[in-house]
Amino acid sequence: MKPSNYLAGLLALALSAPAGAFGRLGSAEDLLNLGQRASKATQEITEQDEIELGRGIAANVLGAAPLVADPELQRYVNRVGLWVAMQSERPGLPWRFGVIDSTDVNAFAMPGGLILITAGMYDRLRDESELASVLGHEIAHVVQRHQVKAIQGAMGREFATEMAGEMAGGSNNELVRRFGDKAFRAGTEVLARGLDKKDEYDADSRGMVLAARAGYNPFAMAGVLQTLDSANASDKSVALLFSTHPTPASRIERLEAAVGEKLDPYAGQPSPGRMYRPKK
Amino acid sequence: MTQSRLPRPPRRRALALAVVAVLAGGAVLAESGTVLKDTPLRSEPLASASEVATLKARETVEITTRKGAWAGVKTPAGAEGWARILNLRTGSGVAATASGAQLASVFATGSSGTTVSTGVKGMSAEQLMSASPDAGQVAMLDGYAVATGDASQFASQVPLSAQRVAYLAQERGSRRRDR
Repeated sequence: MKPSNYLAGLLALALSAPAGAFGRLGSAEDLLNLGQRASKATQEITEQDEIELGRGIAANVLGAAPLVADPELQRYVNRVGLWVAMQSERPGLPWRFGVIDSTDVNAFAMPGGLILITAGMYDRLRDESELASVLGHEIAHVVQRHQVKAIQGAMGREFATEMAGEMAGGSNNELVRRFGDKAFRAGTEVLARGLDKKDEYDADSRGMVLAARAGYNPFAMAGVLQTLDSANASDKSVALLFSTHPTPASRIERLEAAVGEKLDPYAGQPSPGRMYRPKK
Repeated sequence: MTQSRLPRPPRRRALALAVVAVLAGGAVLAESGTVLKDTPLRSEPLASASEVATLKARETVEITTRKGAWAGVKTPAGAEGWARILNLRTGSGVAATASGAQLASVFATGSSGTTVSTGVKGMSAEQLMSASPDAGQVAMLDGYAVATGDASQFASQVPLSAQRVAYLAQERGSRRRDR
């Protein structure tokens, strides 16, 4: 097997591992066969692979901060998020949106359509159009498969050699478990380390377009970025977001250059006045 | 922990008062903005509206309102009008109006004055990487999912209607810039 094919096989195997793991290890042999098949064909990460990968990464993020126990809040965010996602090129993904219980200000997109936003971010949104902007940015990452590509890169670099050695010995079950864990870990690491800056700028402008498609004022994105820009850089609650994204000011400047007046026809819609706020 | 015997610096006291005002009255406070590049200040939030003044890059202004692609601004010289919202940033490090009063930072106060967070959990890279996976939480996330019909119906209540909008050409890098 050529090294590139071999790597592709390993990757396919890793991404095929079911998230809920490894409770159904009976399918390990199938997965291994799939991995070997995939290595002989043109490598394609299937949509199902993406979804399973995203679920495994989401389990890690939710392990760090669980969902806010407010069903009304969660349903509201899902309604807004799905409506925006339905305007994308991948409306049929099993989109899931959640607010997680963290005072940090951040939002995360997992492959396959899982999107988590922190309570600290949610609290600082002025209105529903700003929520649609944040979710639009994350939806754009999923649609463009930004994380999947980053994970593929990381898996290739860091795990190919090691896995090649392990493939020689060990049971298939064990192999699938280890691949799965490593893939999920690689995916979580992408969230911790950040994507390429150009992917972030790209998600900003695509996020604005998605919000506009959904009928929202796309310039609400400016409000979100200005809120981030007003944060003190030494504030711990923005540490991870600032270390994984270009500066808010540069994002605003890039948007101005990319957007100009092109989205003005969609700017007139006032924000719906129904942003969900928890009852005190 | 001991309390400081020194009086609080006036800036912090002003900010604290501003926070109290927001919480008590729900009033919307002006924000401090900094102009990113020279841009016209117009009499109305319209590209065709008359030009009141020219805002200079790095000039500090007060953002009083937001409307579509525009921000209502006040200059230290007292001029009022509308500027393109993407020509303004808020993180200048300068947070004073012409009158010297402290302006609110949405970041510091939160927009709502309320919080949905009950925890004090941070989300550092280390915390993310060391978390134990929680499959039960993923199942709970599934439980909150809504159907497309539900989302469409919710949108139609406002009403929000779907628009056809093309993605924008990528700036710099991937493509040659249009002239």
